[in-house]
Amino acid sequence: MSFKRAYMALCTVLLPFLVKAQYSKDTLGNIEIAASRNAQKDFMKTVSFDSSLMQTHFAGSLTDLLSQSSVYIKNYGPSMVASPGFRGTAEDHTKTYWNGIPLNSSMYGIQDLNLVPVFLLDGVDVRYGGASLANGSGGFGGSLDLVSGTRQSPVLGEIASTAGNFGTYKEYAAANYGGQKWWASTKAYYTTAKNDFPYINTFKWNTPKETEQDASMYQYGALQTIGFQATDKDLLKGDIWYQNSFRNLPQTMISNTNHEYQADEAFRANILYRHAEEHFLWETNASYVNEYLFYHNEISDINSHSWNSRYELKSEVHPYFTFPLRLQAGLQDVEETANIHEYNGLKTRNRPGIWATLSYPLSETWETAFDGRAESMDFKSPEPAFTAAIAWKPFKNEKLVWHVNGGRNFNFPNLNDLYWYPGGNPGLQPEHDWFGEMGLSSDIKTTSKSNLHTELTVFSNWIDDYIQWTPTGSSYWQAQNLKKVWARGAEGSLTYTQNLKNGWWQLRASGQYTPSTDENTKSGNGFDLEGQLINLPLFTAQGSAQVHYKKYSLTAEYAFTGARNTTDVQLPGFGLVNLYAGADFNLGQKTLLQVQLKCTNLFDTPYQVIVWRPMPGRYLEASVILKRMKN
Amino acid sequence: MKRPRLYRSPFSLLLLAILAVQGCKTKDTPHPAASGHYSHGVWIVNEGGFTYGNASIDFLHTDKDSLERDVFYNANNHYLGDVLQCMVPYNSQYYMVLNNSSEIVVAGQTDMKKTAVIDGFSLPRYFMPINESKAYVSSITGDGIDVLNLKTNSIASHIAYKPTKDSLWRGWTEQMALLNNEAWVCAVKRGKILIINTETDAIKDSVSLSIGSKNILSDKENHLWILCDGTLSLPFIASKLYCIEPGTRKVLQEYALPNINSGAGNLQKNAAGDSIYYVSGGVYKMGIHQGSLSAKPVVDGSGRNFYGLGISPIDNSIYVGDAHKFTQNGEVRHYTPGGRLIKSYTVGVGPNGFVFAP
Repeated sequence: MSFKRAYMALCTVLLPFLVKAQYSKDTLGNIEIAASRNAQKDFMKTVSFDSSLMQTHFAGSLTDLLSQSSVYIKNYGPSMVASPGFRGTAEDHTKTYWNGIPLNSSMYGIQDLNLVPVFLLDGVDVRYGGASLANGSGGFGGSLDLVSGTRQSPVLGEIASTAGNFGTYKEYAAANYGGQKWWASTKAYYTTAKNDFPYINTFKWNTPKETEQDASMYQYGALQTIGFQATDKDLLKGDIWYQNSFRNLPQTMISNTNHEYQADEAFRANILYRHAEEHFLWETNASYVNEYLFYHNEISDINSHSWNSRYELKSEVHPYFTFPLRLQAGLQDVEETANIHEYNGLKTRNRPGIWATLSYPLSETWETAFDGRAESMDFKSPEPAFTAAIAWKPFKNEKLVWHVNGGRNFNFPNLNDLYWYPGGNPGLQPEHDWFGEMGLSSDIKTTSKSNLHTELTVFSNWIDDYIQWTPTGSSYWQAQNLKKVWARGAEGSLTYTQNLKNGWWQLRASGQYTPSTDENTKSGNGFDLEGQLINLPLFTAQGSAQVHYKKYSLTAEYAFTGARNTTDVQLPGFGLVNLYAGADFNLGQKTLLQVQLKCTNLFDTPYQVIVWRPMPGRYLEASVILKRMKN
Repeated sequence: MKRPRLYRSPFSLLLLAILAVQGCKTKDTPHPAASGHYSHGVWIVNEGGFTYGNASIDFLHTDKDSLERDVFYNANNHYLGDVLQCMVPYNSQYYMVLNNSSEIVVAGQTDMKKTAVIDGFSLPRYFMPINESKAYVSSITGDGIDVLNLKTNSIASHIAYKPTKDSLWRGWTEQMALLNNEAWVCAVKRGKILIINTETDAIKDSVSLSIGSKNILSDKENHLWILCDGTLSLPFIASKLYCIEPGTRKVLQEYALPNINSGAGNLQKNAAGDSIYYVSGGVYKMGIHQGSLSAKPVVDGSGRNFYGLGISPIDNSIYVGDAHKFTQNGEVRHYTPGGRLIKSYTVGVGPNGFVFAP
């Protein structure tokens, strides 16, 4: 056993004993709850998707779900890559975690949101800026926390079938079974689509109407969760997620088809052991991710195979104190391995780290919090990251919260940046981010049946050593630490909810203003939008209206994406309206039939997220869901 | 009960938000009309960014020292295409090879009005007229040379070149030169020069050089100069410059460029044909009988991304395109023959070449 393996094993075993345990006021109860790191929500902006929104988008991908959030998604099209990039940062500055496991590819640095079905998920949290440090480093814009396999599902079993335009069919099935001692959850899915939507080709002469070619796809997978409550104090839980997808990659408006396709296969497994004592809670996690990607280009005769895998071992402890300090601390070790022809051999790297998060009330109205983290690459000198925060709650019932936080974050280069031949640069330094955020949120009970939630946040990210691929003056480009980027802005949201006798209705509106500029050149690219980095909108906004009455629901959504710079032209902004309608029918005491209708891009608006990549017009979809409830 | 007025209700906030962001939409920038007079100047070929569809051509009116931007769009109210690899004047027309659009756009030399589009290629690279009715087109993935019928503006036949499958883009053909009814064609990944009989359209011979052979031209003595870019080989090898006697196929001169990571490209010659120029970081000049590479560049390229190169046939002044990072407008820098900067111009994205209009 190597030194580093021995070190990690020792730390994992000894960690619970390194913390001096003290008397706890908390009861053990359901020990799942204690593991949440959302205690920092008041100090660092975190938004959770509610169950009604998850249900509305159950047949979609994470891309569809996040369209109603401030997370900007660079979507290349229905069967293409979609990656998040918010608060004016790049795609690999948003980290995605599934049950705590990092999903961003160690090779490319991104997670394709089109490959994550909402059906699998029980919850999604968006952590902004410094809040992402709770799970890991590198989330300059923030992180997405995906949760699945929770124990509380009221559904015993369900099957769902969806059909939509452009040859779209989706099938889902789920079962939740077991009792107090052990439980299990199984979810399986299959989706297929031709994606042969019509569009106006604005690049070609006379702007002909064309049909998207070579954009068909299929995807299937399964998620299995098993939990075992060995004793009142001991919990064992495991998740396995297998997914296989095939996507033809369509041509752009400006080029002929290359007859390209991409096949992805992913296997992800996670096992967790949690032990609770009166004075502390300890848990340890081991996870394994293996991903394979095959890319074929018939015209260029490219057949590219790439593999990457990741092992992660982490352990953390939550001691309970007699004084009101909340503390969690942990250790981790990640080993990443990747292989592709362009690396000239297998590449492996190891990333041990330590972290701690704590909060402490200074008075009845003031609280402080701190997240600290240090990670080393291959046991070289560690990179520190931290968020320090303070919150002011002038009212005991927490109707008004003001917070400010700031700190430092870092992002290690991905393996392509380091090793891709030609152009990869093993001498790259991590990117660094100095950030700050200030926010004010309020909950006002306007009447006995209505509530108004408002939130306003301003933020700033100063990113140094930004990695960029630049031409070398020869036939290849090289990765270099070049840019200094300043991403800053403001986000505001307003949610008004009113309860009805047999339901409720809600209005939401939110908007974001996010200048993100290259501070090396100052003048940006010399075009409009004040030097805004390419492919990032200056303005985005969302609005929705929902009514749930008895067993019926109706949702209207609007999302606006502002103009974006490309290399020499400006893509115009666009607004999309989506409608969702649902109805529940009881078929006996425990059996429920749900019908959902969905219409996206209601007004058939032509638009492009990425220049010359056509996007579908009006799309209709119908879903039938049959559920058997536990009680 | 008193009904709430609209402006006090949450609906009004939502409506206002939607109206506010809709108001942020931008309008298309109007394009000026093309002047229609394109003599006494220099065409600047801007290839654009790969997949951005923003290839363009600018015209520098040297007699008036004024730059006319985006001439093709302004003359045709239509985008040119994706990745403009080269522009060749022939028969009162310009033939513009659009690599990632896989087509050739033909336009009139006097007004830049589009007259034809030739498609059916597979990532074409260069166009070389053979005679009044025939031209050759090289390509990255076309496995050979497409033979064009210039009367019908269509592909008439294909000269297959498909070597053994052991490398990516193994059949990539690049620049061509015409000498004595022989077309000399660079076969990049093989490091070969294919020799094609232009009467029979058959490959009759080849010369083996270094991998990365991509530029070729003939000097005043009808010797062929070939530049091989070593960064097109994996792993990188030294870039090489060769001089060949076409009759005997013998290599007369051979030079290895010193910086293995810089690569080399854009081989050009002056009007007299007694000096050649190339870009390898900076711009280097070499007399055809110099006997060695020049140690110092005639134009220093430090801090720049020199891409296109052109030598004025009138005064041997040097035009260099700086592509910056391809994510913004490029720059053309005009130097005296000795390398002193005369003036610079902001041009389209990725200036990769120059065509001199008499």
